[in-house]
Amino acid sequence: MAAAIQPEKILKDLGELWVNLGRDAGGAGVLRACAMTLIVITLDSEGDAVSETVAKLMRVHPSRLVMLRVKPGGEPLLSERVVAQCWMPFGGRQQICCEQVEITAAESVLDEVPAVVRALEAPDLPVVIWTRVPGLLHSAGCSPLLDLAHKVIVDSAGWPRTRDKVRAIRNGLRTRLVADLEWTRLTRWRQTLAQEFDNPAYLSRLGEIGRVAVEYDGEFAPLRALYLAGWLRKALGERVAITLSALGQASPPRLHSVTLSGGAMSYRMNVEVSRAAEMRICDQRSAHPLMPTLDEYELMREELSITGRDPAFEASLAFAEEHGQ
Amino acid sequence: MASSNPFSDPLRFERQVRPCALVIFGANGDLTKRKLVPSLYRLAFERRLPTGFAIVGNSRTEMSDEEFREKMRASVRQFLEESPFDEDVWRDFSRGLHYVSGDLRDPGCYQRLADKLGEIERAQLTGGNVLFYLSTQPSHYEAVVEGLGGAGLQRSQAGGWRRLVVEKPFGHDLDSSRLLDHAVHKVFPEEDVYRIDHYLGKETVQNLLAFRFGNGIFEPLWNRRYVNSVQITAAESIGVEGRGAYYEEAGALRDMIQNHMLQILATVAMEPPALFEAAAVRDERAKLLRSIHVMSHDEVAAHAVKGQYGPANVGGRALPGFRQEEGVNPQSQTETYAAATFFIDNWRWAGVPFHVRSGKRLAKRVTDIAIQFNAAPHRVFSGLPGGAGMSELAPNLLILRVQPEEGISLRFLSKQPGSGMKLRPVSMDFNYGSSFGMRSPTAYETLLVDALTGDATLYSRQDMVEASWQAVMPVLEVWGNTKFDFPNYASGTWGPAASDEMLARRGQAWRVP
Repeated sequence: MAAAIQPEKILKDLGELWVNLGRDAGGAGVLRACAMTLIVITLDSEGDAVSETVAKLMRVHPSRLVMLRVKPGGEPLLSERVVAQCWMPFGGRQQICCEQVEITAAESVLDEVPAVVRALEAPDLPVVIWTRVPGLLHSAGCSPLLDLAHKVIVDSAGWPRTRDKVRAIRNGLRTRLVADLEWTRLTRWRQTLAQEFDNPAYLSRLGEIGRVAVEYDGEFAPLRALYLAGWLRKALGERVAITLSALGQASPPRLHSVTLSGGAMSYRMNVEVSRAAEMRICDQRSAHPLMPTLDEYELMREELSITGRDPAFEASLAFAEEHGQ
Repeated sequence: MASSNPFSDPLRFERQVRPCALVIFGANGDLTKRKLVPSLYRLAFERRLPTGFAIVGNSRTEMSDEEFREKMRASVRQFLEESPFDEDVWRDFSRGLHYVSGDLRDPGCYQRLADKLGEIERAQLTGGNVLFYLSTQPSHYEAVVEGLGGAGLQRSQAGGWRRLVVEKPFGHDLDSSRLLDHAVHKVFPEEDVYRIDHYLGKETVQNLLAFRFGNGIFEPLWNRRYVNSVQITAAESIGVEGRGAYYEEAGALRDMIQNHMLQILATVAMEPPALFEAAAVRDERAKLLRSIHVMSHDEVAAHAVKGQYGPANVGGRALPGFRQEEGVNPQSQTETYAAATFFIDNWRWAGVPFHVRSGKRLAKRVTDIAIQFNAAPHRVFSGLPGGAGMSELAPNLLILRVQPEEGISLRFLSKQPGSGMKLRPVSMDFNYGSSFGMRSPTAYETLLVDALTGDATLYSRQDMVEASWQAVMPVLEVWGNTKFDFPNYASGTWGPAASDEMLARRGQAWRVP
């Protein structure tokens, strides 16, 4: 039997934490910042690295953070600790603090966790779950946990058998918001492409586009490539032929390039592994816009800013389910 | 042909600037170096400028494109705030930097400018879109507008837009502002004129609109029934810092109150617009400015205070008085501090004083707005030890902090822990930086994108400029005909004693921000 953890004790520890923080700060006190409950589910072995990411995230999206560190297999285990993330804003007089509850649980006792987490929700604020553990979306133990969330964020990078996974995401969307960081990784690509067609000279020739080719490296089409194709399908309509094809080898698979062509019009964006993308339009101009590889912090920062439905993502998801392998 | 971009995604993409050129007159000046080009670089860094974006600098100094780029590169590196300098971004950005030298009164200068804009239009596919930015000495404004009109640059042959950004001051009094406006309108229609007041681009000032009109709980209290008074403070701890000659001509009333502070006052007190769009918001702001009670000359002494800082030792450093600053008349009567109480002649605000003050060499750098609410109508705790007068001594205050820490605080009374009912004021804080930890765009970034995308919501309109000049003209006239015994406040203080006395006569006091 796992060691019990009591939500009342965690809440009491949190209360004491704030009293101590206030006392240590002297007369200035501390500023408690909280805009949501953020539940992060991660493997215990990756917990320390994730802690660094969420510490940065707290400054942008201050939250009551509940980090669930999952230990696969082994003895039943359940433990908790309460800490605060504090920082002094530049030129500020008062420390800003967010509270963090860390729960470590063996996979076998995960079903005991939702009742604890439910008591830890910050009242009247949204709950967002970021799960870094593939498969938890299907796990019976975690299902009540997912039910708490207004939004669930997953990362499908490297997922094989995409059709099943996409179906899981779409199923999740029926009852809550679901986001995939693979879609978030596309934002800068999409923005770069959209920006080119802000130019009326190119926008007026958009009707010439008849073909879209999305190329990827790897043995199967990564979801990111499918999302991009789905987004282009929605923007350009059924009249445009869209192909997805493998170009080279990579593991895990990755997006390589996108080409829009037709008539005398062509647009190609070739994303290298490095930070710059090469871009050509009508073979007249080329540019090398910044295309840095975004880390989890950057991706989560963007995704946590989206509080409502994302119709562009939903349309791309539908395309991905239809065309995924 | 598609009329709107099907790839746009407003949920995730920041508002984008379409291909266009920006012409900066006064490209060798401080504003260009410190604010404009660093802000534009930052926008490029955030990928908000299109690949077809070009900047053409103009000033009298002879310079090649390459020399101009080098100069701007040094400025960006020096004045870029809270941002990294990225060589790749700079390389792309600087390709769009061009320079045309010339005297602003020489028609040939505008012809060369027209040729350069033609080249850019063909190479960068800007569609003829051009924003002209007047960052010169105000005395050159009319010449530039006339020159642009003479060369036909106010209209695009390709059907693109042409806009004009005018930096303050918009005249030095009501008459001169009308003359300037007349000159501008001979060439540019009002809808293409963007009068910039960078205070309106600050996040907190914009947040005021969100705070007032996005929440249901404050607006019912936002009137004479609940609000006792409003204080607006814009304090600088520094002196004129090398701008003595300019300041000698301007003074605090013209430099700060006539424009920035009255615009803030209008944003605090305006009626809710029907829609959040430029015309609706500006109509309400203009209406409020027109409602400011214009003082008679006899009222000025009781409602306005003029001050000037003297020499002082602060923190072991000897600081010169205003009259000892370079470029300043040793007998100067110019104010480095101005305070005024305005009243608004409408149903919502009748009788509520709006105390406004701005000064240099004050105790610290701070800009904030404090809304003081009336005391509770019945003093339940007045009979208890420590309770008497507490609600008068510590009235409910809503403080909107503009700088340095942007945020909102609400002060209210709370019971002190322990036995007995002892009350103590406490503060509930919202800190912009903690709730939205991301970097806020600078006012110039916000306003430049607005002008480049044709959004005039945060820009002043001529009727607003005239209304605010009208509000301060009696003060300027009376002060212009009165000899003051200056200096009358020491550096590092909160201004002249007369300012405290002005509020004391109403039973009020300036708060310490």
